[in-house]
Amino acid sequence: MPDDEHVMVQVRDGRVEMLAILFERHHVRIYNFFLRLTANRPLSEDLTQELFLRILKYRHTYRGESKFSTWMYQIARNLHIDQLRSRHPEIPIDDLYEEPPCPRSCPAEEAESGQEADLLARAMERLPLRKREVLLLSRFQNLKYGEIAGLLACSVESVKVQVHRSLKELRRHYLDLQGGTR
Amino acid sequence: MNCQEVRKNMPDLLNDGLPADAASKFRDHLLACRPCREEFQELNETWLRLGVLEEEQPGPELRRVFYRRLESYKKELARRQPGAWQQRMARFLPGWPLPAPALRFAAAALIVALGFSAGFFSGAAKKNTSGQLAALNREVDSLKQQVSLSLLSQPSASARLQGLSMTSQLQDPDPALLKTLLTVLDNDPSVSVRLSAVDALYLFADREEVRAAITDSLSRQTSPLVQIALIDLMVALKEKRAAAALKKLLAGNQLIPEVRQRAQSGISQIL
Repeated sequence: MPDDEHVMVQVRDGRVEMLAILFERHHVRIYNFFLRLTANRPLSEDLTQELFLRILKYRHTYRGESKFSTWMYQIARNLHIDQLRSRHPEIPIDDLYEEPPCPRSCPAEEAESGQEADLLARAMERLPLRKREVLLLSRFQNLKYGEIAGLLACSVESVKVQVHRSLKELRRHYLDLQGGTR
Repeated sequence: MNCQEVRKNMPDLLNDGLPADAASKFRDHLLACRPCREEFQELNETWLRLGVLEEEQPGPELRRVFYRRLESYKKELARRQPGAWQQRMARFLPGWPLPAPALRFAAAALIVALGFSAGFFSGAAKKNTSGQLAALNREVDSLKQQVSLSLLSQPSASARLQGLSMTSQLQDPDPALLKTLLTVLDNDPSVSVRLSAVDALYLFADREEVRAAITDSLSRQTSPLVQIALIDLMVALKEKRAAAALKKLLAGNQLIPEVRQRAQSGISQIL
């Protein structure tokens, strides 16, 4: 099967129907990336849809030598940032990325739910966007730290520090939600 | 390797990996240093635990809207390039001016006439070519079947969905692939994959064995979504044998009201 870069070069050069291959390969993972960032299913579907439209719109900017997934996640990040800006025009984007989010559910709901995956999803939601994003990119989107550094415009060392800190904070939230039993 | 270097390298060991010699020094340090060992164990445990978060499937509308928009984009692209064939001609024949309309018409007539003559004199060659084309189509079909089978055996649900989507391009699936599709319909752990299997099997429902297997599968389904999809499919196929399967389904106590209602209306539509 042709690799993503080869397919994207063909899309760029006018065979736009080849985008279907990239859609089938990546849309579920991209949807889950948005879902973990936004915790909102309809919004994540809209963002996924919009991402593939943007790939079509900006296909001429794709350079064959760069990895397709890195380029795609750059567009995905920009889309998410645009969406944040439209919802909170008064707050600087860096603040939105650093602020701890409001807890999604009430303690009573949390007490009822003991499933590991559920607790972990809630613990993820408690991470500030910056930390959540770096974990999503490294753990679920299979990007190397060098690729993430390119995306976030920072050094590889900085990405590694963020991963380290994010995991520690995630563990803290997880144990907290679990009721400190571990 | 000191504690600071070890801490700096911990994320590497989780994701990218370390070169063999560095990994060896890293492990030696962990064996000797309890605080670093405990910290790495905690990080590693959290990293591995994240694996319990399963990928969620988006709704089917996402795919439908994507393909609709892609088609619109293709049409719009074609509309915006009315002179595409002229550009191609210009590339092949640089410097050749386009002739006047009358001459263009005459040239077109000449090309058509030449085409007819060539077709008349090359009857034998044509038979040969169509034989080769048929063989090529069979080869492509066989290749697609192999890729579909391979994708359907993948642990990732999105890969299996891709495999199901590929089966829609097949002209003549072999019995092994059909058997795999039916196994997916009955046993796949993901509801989305089982739903897509219903859609994929619809394309091959002209085969007796597929219709019979779809009917039998109804009693084995536990997800209301898949039950409803199968009922709709059997109603669309006007499958008479399905009436008995639907009655059997209704006799059970564990149906949700939506499925019960759909099964009752299905029976009245089939009979």
